[in-house]
Amino acid sequence: MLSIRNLKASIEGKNILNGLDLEVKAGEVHAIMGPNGSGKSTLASVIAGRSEYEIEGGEITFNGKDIMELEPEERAAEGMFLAFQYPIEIPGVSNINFLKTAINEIRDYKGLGKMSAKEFLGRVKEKKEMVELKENLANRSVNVGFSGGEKKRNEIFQMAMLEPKLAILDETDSGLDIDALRIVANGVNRLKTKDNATIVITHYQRLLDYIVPDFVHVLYKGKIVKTGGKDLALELEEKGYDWLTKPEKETA
Amino acid sequence: MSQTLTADKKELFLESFRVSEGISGVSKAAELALENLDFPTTRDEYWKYTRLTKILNGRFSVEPFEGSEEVVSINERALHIECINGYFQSPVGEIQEGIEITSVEEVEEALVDYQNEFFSALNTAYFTSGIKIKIKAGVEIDKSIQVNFLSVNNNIQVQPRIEIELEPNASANFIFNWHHNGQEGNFYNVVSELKLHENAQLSLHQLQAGGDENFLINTTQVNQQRDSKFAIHTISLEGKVLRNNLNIAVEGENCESILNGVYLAYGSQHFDNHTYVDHIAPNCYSSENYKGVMDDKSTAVFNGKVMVQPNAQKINAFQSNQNILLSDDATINSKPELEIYADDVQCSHGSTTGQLDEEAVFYLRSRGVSEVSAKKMMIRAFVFDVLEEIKLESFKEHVEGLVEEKFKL
Repeated sequence: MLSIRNLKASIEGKNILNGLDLEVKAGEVHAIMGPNGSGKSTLASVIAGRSEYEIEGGEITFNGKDIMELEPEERAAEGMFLAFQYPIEIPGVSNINFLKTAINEIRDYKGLGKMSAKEFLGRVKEKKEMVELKENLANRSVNVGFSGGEKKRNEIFQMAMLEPKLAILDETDSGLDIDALRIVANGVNRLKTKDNATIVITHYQRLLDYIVPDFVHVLYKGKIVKTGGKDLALELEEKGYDWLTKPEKETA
Repeated sequence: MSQTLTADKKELFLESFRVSEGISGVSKAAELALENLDFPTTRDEYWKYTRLTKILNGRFSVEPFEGSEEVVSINERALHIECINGYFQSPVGEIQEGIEITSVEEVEEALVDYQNEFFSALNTAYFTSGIKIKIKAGVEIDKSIQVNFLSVNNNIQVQPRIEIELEPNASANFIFNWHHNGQEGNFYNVVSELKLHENAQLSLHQLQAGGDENFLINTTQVNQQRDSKFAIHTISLEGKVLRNNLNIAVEGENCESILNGVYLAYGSQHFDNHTYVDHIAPNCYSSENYKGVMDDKSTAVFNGKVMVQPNAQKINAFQSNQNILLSDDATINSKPELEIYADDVQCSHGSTTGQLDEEAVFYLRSRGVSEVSAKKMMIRAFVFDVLEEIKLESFKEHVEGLVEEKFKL
């Protein structure tokens, strides 16, 4: 589904990703872990199409399609979704209205007609229940006055509404208490099918107790330095990152 | 040297206005005042950021008009009065009992400061036609009264004068709609005088979309007696040079004054809002909220002054001006001013200028919303709270649509 080869990216002249490879197939859950500054959020931003980053080399294909030149909204229309580490507050823009616009513009991109009001409202009701989003939050301005947990839940609600093929969760666990974490993780698990995939970017192993990954990758200095199964996360929790990063330091 | 030059130019400019013969009374006094008043330049503090050279150098003929023209109706139920080329036509629609409409042949009393303001003097001396709308005591007008300003010739002067008087306990909604018919080079110099007697309620909704090749100087003088409520919503969308002079004298106790404005400018449009709230009496509330979005090489000016006179205790006055610049070449000159001579008051003011929140735009785009839609949403959201204050639904809906379509982005 997602294929990244030798990806190099920089911001303001600083190299962040230094030849990264990643292969994600339908039905899989991948966790990307790594110490602060290793390039985790950059990877999420580059995949989503944030324009501040300069792509220096490599390629990203999504379902066989080169997405490097696509605008962020086109990537979303192709089926990508990024759950933000810090969801943005947008006063005056209603959650529901903007999702309606998003869904209809995505449908337009695919050559489909507008979704009927009835179908849309049905979906809102269903997904709201699925992610246990409080009744009034859906109709409010995007994330305005939401608690940290509500913001993250709103990200998962939007993800549920848009039904992406690939969801990237960027540090979704940061700032969440254990109950909120469980609700968010439950939402993600319920949305999982054999046809979609999830990339979980996280600093801590904690979230992976709830969203069980098929693969765990360790990102360091803009490269994946180790890949393993879910046990690798536990090993990292126990030993930290030093044992993986030391050899790199020696050669540096 | 340059002073003399301007003086000569002023004489040339005034020539095309001195066509009506035998003016007398207040108009004569205004004509005399004009002799001594200089044509405003950017050296005058009041006109610092608004260059009027194009008006000064223009020659604007008088073109009387009788008849009617098709105009978009904002509220179909409204009583419509068309003002074409500066000439008021007969009202269209049922005139509810309690509304008295008369034409003003001679100014009996001027509320505007024609002794000191050039354009107020110009209108008072040489207005093209005048109308007086009086709402009788205790009458609540449920239909709005819509005045449409438009012209059907080029390079003309359009100088209507409107007097509105609400007797005690009367209430009414007005719409002033500047409509563009394709003509160019016209100079609109409009004077409106609004008198609110005790416990009267007046809301004035202004939609300024009179064409990008026309000039508009729009002076509104409001006098409020005790317990009255006044609200004005000014939406500025079109004009080569557009200037609103809004002066509110709050003369009675326990009044409420709401001033709202949205100005959206692109190209080389120049929009200027000068407001002045004069709190003369105690126990009053005034609230002002103006928001602007400027693109391309457009310029906007906001100058809002709130004066609290020595006897005006227990005043609550709030003022806010916020701006978004969409381009590096767009300009805003914002100056909120408070002048307080009473000691028991609550006043605040503030001004901000920024850009569209790029993070928010990216957030919306990452959900599949196109860049253009995302920016439109953000602009709409930015002015949302000002439009929310408009109680006249038909006007609000009409304006919301225009706001969405304004920027090509």
